Amino acid sequence: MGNLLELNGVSKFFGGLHAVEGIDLTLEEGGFLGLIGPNGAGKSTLLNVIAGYYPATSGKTFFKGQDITDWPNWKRARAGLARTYQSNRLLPTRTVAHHIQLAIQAAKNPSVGAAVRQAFRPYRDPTDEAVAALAPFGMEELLLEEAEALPHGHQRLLGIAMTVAACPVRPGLLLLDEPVTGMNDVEIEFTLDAVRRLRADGFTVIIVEHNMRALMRSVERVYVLDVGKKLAEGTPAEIASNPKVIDAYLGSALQGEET
Amino acid sequence: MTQLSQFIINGLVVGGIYALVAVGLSLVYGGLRIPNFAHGVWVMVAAYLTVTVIGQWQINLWLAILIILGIMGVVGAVQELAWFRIIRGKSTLVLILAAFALSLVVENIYVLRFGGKFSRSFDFPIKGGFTVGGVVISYQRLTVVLVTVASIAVLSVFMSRTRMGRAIRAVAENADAAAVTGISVSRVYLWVFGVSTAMAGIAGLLLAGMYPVQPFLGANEILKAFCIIIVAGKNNVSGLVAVAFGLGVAESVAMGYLPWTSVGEAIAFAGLAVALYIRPQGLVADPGAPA
Amino acid sequence: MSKIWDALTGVRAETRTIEVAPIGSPRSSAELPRLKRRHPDWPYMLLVVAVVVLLPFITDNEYYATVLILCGLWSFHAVGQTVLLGGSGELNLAYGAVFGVGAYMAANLLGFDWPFGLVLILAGLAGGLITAAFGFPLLKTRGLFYAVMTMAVGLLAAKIFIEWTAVTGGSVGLPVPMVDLSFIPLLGDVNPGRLSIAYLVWALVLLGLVFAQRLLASPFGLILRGIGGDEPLVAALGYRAGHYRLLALSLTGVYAGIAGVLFAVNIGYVTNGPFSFWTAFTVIIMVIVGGRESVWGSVIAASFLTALPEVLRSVQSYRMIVYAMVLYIVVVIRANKVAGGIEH
Repeated sequence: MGNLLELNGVSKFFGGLHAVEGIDLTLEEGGFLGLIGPNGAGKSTLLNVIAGYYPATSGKTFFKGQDITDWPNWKRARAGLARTYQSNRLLPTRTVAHHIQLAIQAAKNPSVGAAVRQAFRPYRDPTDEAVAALAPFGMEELLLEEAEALPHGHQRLLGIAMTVAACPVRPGLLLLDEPVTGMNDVEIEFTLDAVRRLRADGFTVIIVEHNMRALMRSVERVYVLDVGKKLAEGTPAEIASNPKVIDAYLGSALQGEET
Repeated sequence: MTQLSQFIINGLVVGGIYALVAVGLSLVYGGLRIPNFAHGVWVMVAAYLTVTVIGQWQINLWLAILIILGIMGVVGAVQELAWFRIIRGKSTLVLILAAFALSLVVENIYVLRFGGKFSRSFDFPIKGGFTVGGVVISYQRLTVVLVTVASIAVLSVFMSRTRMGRAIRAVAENADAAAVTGISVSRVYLWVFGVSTAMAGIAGLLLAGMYPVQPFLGANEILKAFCIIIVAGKNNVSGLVAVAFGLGVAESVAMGYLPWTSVGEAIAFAGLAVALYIRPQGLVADPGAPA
Repeated sequence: MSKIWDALTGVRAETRTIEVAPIGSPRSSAELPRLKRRHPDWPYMLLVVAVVVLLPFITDNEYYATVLILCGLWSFHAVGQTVLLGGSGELNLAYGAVFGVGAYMAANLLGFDWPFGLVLILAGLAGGLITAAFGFPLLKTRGLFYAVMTMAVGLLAAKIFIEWTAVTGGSVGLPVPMVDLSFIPLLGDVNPGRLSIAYLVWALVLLGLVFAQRLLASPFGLILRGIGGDEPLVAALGYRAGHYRLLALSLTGVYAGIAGVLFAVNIGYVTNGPFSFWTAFTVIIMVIVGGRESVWGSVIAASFLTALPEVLRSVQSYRMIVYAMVLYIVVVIRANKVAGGIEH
């Protein structure tokens, strides 16, 4: 069985800025990878390239054995490559229900034809499906609330819930961009628990996080970026004791403090 | 060859007007992100003012120009205060609709006052011209081009050398940061609108001598101005000027050689469509922007 | 000063955050909120039918048939534009031009004795296809640029209408042959021809309304509104936003084409005046005033904004000023809710 995700020499340049350069990365199905690095290392850029939000400047990306280098983001999403955002990215003035229904429909059939056909079929109550998608995240009672009016932690969870609900296939790859940033300890525990359940459900996960404590005790492997290049790769224990990594972070982050 | 040169000269004149309108518009759109569709209407108002103040009342030319530009500047500031301030920061759709509404109101007020078909002509004060190598260059035409270039140059100096100019650039870059440094953002908004409308006023002054003045003057120019901004980028003055003159010349040459009157515009939009197809964000944008 | 405005108009300065149970707390009640089904349309449709049918018995004014037809035409326009404006929030300023295409088609084809029903359907199809044709290259643009480009298309079309005299009659225009619609049962003592046109128009308004309503309430509407709110977000879920935007745009063209035929048949003589950007923008005003996403709102606003000036016999320019002021006031008051796919 091949790797779920494979990056060969992937680079992303913005004009003269080499955001990421020559990235080689492989991830097996079922894995849980943490992507870390000091500020400006290129973590979010790399995530965006994997998600198809930015086209890679060079290099190749393989997903489930297919070359997806030229695939736009919608195509990757349909293949099972799902991503969340660093900032709470939600539709202004729309309800939680709207968001989750969008996600559910995307998993069923995102094509225009299907959406139009639905319009002229008899009405089916969408509540149960929506509740089912939100229940694992404890948000089923918030269906009718305005999404942007929710507290920060709930908004982040909604983002994850949407992304998961929209993924039509398993195995899937879940790219989590700072999912627990700004959350309190209770919320962090809940989210990590949810991620654990998602992994059991067939998701492979890549997580970018500044909260070192949370990341290091959850992930199986760690991939470290510094100034756009790979610095190190290994288990959390190996990385925590790797002198180059400690150097890059000036030691503080790995001693358990949040960046 | 002389015919082509003639077309080019004419095109430079038309292009000059486009440049004035586009640069004036770019102050408000580029700096404050307000797509002010009402901009064209002020060109018309200035043209009518010109006809009245210079043509009818026969006030001394230079004084009249000062008065008209002063009025347009104040009108611009009032426009910001009375119409746009209340929706400052709201979504672009809101701003577009409000701008359109303003243009409709002013246009129709003029239609009621002067009639939709009614137009006045106005005699440009400097008559005659000269001939260079078989090409006729009227003083009027020359004035338009010179005034255009001069106005934009003055504007550039204003933006880079004066305190208000720098404040405007600061606000355009990041309004919150500018406010923190003590710049009165509201004052800047008033000035930007004032200067922008004054530029429209210059265009109106020049147009009054070129075309019959009627309430829908400027509607054409404003659309072209937006197109020019799309192609050249909203903050790129030299680009705007270049594209504006280019558009004017292209239109003029096309209209000169091809029989149908609409061809000029067709060429402009075809060019624009091509430009947008190649670079959908406009020609000035981050090449790494999301797909 | 601005605080007073905020208070008066209810314009919110900041987004609020609501109080909810912390993450991970157990469900507070057994009752979950249900996603409500939309109100059924048919009571309102019956009301409209009643008004249209009973009007002859209520008023003696022979003018009313004309007002009825005009209200219907503008309502039809407004419904058409609601699909786009109430969905992705984009502006189709070339709508007037496609409207003209429908009208010129009617003038020409009815002149060749083509059956009315066929012409109606063809005009709708032509409107949709032509709109799709210019809409396709425009898909790469968004928001303001998109609107400007549609405006440019409309202007270009206006020039073509003037130049292509063989088909359009230039600025002189074309006569439209009388169409025999007497197969529709008549009521009242007004000139029978006018009334049957009124019934036809309103029947189509109701049909068009149901169609638009179903679309907007369906997943298609959800997705389109999502695209209007944050297109990359929706695309990242797996949707091809361009397809949805193009379909919504094309649908406005279908409405425009059909409206053109109705207009031509009603007015009897087609000139290029009404096929301008102003018509497109007037329709947009009506949609916004009626609540950008509400199809019924569009019908009500269109009817009201049409009937009132007609009843008051006001001049076109006064009318436009009033429309513009109403638009401005509505937009200001609802500024926080009039977001749309037009951020740039």
